[in-house]
Amino acid sequence: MHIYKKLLSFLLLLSGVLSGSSQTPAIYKEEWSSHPTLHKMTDQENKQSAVVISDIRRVEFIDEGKEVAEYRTLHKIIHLNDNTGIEAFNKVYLGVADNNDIVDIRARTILPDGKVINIDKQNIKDLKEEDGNEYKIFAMEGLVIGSEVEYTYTYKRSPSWFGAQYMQSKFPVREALLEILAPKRLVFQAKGYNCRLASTDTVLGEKKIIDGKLKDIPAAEDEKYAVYKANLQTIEYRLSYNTESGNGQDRLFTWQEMAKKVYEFYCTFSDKEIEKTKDLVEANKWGKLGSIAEKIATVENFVKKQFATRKDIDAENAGSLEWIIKNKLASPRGIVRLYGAIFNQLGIPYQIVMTCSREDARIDRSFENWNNASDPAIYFPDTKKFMAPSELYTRYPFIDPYWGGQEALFCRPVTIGTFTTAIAEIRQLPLEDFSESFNRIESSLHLTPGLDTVVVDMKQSYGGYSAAYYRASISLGDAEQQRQVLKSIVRFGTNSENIVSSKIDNADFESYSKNAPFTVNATVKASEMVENAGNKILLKIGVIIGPQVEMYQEKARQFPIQIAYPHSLERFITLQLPDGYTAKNLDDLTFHNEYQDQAGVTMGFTSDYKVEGNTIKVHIMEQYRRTFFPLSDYENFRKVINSSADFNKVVLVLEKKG
Amino acid sequence: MKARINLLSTLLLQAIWPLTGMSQSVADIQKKFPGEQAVVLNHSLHYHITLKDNQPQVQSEEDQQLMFLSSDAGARLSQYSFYHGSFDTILQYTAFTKTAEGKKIKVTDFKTSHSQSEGVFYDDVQETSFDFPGIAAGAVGTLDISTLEKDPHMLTPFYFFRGIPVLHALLKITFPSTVSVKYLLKGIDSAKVSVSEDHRHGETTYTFQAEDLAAERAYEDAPGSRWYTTHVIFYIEKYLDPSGKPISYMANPGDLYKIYRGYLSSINNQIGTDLHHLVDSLCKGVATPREKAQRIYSWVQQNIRYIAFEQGMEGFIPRDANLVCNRRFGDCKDMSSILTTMLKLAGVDAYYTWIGTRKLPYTYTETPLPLVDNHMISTIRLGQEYIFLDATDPACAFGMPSVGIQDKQAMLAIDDTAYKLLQVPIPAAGLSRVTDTTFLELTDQSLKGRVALDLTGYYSMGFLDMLSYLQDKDKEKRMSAMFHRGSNKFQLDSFSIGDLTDKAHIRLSGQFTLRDYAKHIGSDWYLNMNLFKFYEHEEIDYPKRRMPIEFDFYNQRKYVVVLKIPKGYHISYMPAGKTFHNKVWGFDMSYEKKDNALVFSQEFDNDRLLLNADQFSDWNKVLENLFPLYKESISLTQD
Repeated sequence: MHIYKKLLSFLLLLSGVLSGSSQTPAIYKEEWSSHPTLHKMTDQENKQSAVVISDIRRVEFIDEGKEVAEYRTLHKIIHLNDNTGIEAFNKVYLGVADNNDIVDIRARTILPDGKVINIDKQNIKDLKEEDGNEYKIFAMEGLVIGSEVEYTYTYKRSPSWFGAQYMQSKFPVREALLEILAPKRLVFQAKGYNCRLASTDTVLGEKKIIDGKLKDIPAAEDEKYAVYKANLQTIEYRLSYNTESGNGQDRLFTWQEMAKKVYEFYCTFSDKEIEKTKDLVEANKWGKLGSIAEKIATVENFVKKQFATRKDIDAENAGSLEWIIKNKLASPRGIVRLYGAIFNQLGIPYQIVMTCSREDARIDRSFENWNNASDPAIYFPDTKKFMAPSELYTRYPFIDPYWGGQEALFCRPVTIGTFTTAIAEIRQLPLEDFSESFNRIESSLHLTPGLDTVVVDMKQSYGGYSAAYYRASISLGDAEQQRQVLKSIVRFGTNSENIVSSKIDNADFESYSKNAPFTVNATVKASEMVENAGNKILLKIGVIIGPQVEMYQEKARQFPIQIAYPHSLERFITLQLPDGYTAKNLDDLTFHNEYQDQAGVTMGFTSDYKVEGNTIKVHIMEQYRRTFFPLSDYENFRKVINSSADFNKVVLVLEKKG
Repeated sequence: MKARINLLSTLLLQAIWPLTGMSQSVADIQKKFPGEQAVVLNHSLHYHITLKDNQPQVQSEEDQQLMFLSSDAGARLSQYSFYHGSFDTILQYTAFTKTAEGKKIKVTDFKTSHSQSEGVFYDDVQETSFDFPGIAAGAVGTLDISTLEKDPHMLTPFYFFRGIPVLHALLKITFPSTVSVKYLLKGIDSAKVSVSEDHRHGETTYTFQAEDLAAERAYEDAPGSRWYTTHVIFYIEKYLDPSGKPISYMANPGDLYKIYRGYLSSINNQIGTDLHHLVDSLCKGVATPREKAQRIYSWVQQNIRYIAFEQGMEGFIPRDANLVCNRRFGDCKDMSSILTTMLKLAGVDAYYTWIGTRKLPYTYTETPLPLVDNHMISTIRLGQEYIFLDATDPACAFGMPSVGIQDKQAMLAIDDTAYKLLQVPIPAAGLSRVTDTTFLELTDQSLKGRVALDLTGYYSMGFLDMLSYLQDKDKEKRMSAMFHRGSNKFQLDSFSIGDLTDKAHIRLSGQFTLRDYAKHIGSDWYLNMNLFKFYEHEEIDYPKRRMPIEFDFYNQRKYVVVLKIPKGYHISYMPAGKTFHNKVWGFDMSYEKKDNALVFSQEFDNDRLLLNADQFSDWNKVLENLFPLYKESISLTQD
């Protein structure tokens, strides 16, 4: 079970939505035309591999005895225009909560000649994946180009008072509808993201209905430096009021209420648990360490080496500290509790921060969707820094960078008498400053006497987030994998694998807390950097900065720019010219594309050089100080990215003086 | 067809144990296998073959012990699993950890889910996974499983190597004197396996053992692991019935054919009108069997889509052609079923055919077992010529075998009792050619160019395959990648795709701009004519690497660059060409001035499907000779 499903089922216990009635009204039955006909495509639509003609989703809440049950329905019709379209829709996976809770499922193909082929229910299989997710799966029959695929299903699940429906995908949609039906007393609200949602509220008998409609949703493409899911046209909904509970005016499921429950869920412990934690803390002598930061880092390194935590470690006792300490296995909730108990023992104040990946969603101050506040981080008010308890490969103060650079729910503990709870604060979860995440290359170049090879003395250092990939690869890999990583780092800055000597420093995870950069020193004989044209030497100096992402030929941009974390890339190149040679085109080394706003530089690529005798010194600064740039910055961003890609191709022509 | 995975067939899950290596300390093991994070201390598997109700019955006991070595084992290495399907029943399993301090902690939480095989939409292979509790450096995790093999025709080979070192691997096979068991050792380290035979109390036991096996890590360009990994294939050859009469079980390909033939008995006994009409309409006005076959093959390729459902015997029995026709989808067996049926209806001699793809190194002649194959096709006979038709590849040209079945042994179903074994040919290098010609012109700041690309055989088929699943909006991007040359500033300005009717020959052309590739400095132009450096950094990691390298097909490639010399310029430097060939491969590169153009050409060919370790040194030698040529630029100087 997913962590937040588990968290939610805890949070939502006894939320006062239950009914007094004991009748079970019928659920809405999805229409299934007895004579389906094909839809006519427009010229524009014909250019698409597939067009979703209609995408109807319904979430219906019903009183069943004393319980409220939730039924979800999906009904789609898709027109297929080519082989890619057929391949995209001939195999259908329908997510269910439990394969036994299917109420209705139907699927059919409508052929271009009007013939209809229904899918036999016997050919619908149950699939349970490793992550525990269950599906109904089947293959559409008789498909040819020009066919339509239609399917609908309804399944029952335990109710969730929040939801997000992503209505946009890789294929265009003519018409999408989200309908929320509920007993009259339950007041739901819906909000559209990345779209203009036309929604209507109606009351039909004992039911209240919200209709959210979207029309002509374009296909959404993957783009470089963009998040995908969070940019899609999405409808979120939540239960906001229960008119039959209390005065009926109190907003339900506020952030405030969530903070309180989060505190209970993660930060309360039994006496036995406190005792076991005390033993652990004492055995490891953490209390004797110096600063708070040192304690946090030491505890984190210990736990992240000794304890496994994954979403699918979800046995009943995997949240209890006694069991966790013995078995070294913890549910995501359990691991957060373990840290919490240890920090309590060490007297280090902390707050749980509920956030999410900005690749997928956002925490909206005014539209509280508890589902979105899915990932717990730990905030230390004394140092104002963060830790990611469930992420094995991050270390304080670095967390999953997509968790930050946006607002999050801070659950700040407050004690009233002997009772401790938490209050909610929605505020920015900042990432570490751009200067903390860097890649710096310092390379000295000279040619061998034969003038056919460049000897590169190179130092590459990576700090903060920029170190994450290499640090993990080196410290988690075996000897052979380490050799391959070293080769790839060297090749990145020389286009050669001919390593004369090398040394790696600060590859351990412990280096994060001091931000000691992951460093590779190497001497490399790079014959690949020299080309000849008769008696001229072509020196591929741009190779030193490594191959760069380019955005030379791009389609019209849909989404704003997002990058993982603010960072800089600084390079110092010292080139010793061979005696008697001069470089003809040094000005090719100069670039200047830097952009600012009122707060200063936002991004840029600049490079300059100076000549000192027979030595040429080049300095390059490439920087991205933000994680987000609006669409209006796109052209500037492209220029910065492409300057770097251009520099990579700079070749100096060396010729004999004379 | 069923790519059968059971609990023994993944490299992750092999191990054994007679308590010899147990005394080794963590430090000893780390010294022996530096940098490794865990080892299999022991993997033992004991098969017991008996006769029950005059039928062979097979049960097995498997025991694995893993020792964890790294300090962060607890956080990263606790997860483990085993597989099982509809042809084996897990009778019992237990798992526990013995911690570094000697405490025993049992595993209590096992989870079972579907394990999806590559390319299969639905199958019934299950994976049971769990976490070893309380692990740290020095802890040992144990997993014991006993299994009943439901179909003794399909015993899984025993693999000695895994992705982590194996200190001791042991396979025992015990069987009564009334049963005869055969075995075959395969793989590049077979010599490390000791084999012994023991007879006691009327039972024979074969024992296979190996020790201190280094971790086996795959290379992306290696063939399927069974081509190199060391393993024992074993099978019941025959047994005596109660009267003492020998019963041939899997003694020869004929025994296997008998089983396979049985799979066909219930299908295609009645052909519906739809199929009749379809065949009639496809063959209308067509005289020769060759052309009829071409049309029918093409129809199945284009209209029946590959979707595989494999549940129990569905993994082996082809579906009825009428059903396949209505559904318009199927797996390889289903395509063989409909294709063979339609061809026969049209009067073409067609045969259901079983075959192993190139992932598998086996032949029916050597091991007459179901593990030889994983695929089904249809074979036709036109006069004396056999043509292999694989409808799962929509881009395959009639007459060419699909890439994956070249050089493989095929089993053709001739009739109820007769079968035929045939070797699929390897199309000659000259049949799969790339001829790529670039015409370059220098402008003020950049290069303008035109490309003519001529593809035949497998190159052409590969292009068609790519094209058929390309969305219109992605076409430009893919074609740009197809024509890409010089640097990533390559910009495709326009392209055109020629006639697509001949799957074995396609012509493409394109126009492009390439900025900042040629350098214009002072009165000189500098330009590296090697717009492609296909083999840069392609040296084989020799002698470290021992696994072979697989090539897709035999081929010939020629790349020509024609640079127009601008008015007022002359060639001031033209590098020398070179030709180098050894017994493994080679190249030809040349520069030539022709009228007002400089013509550079590079040619390569390949006539092997597999490159073995003893050929790696020669391969690298060719590259040593090639690389200096990559560094040569031409220069043009103003008159």
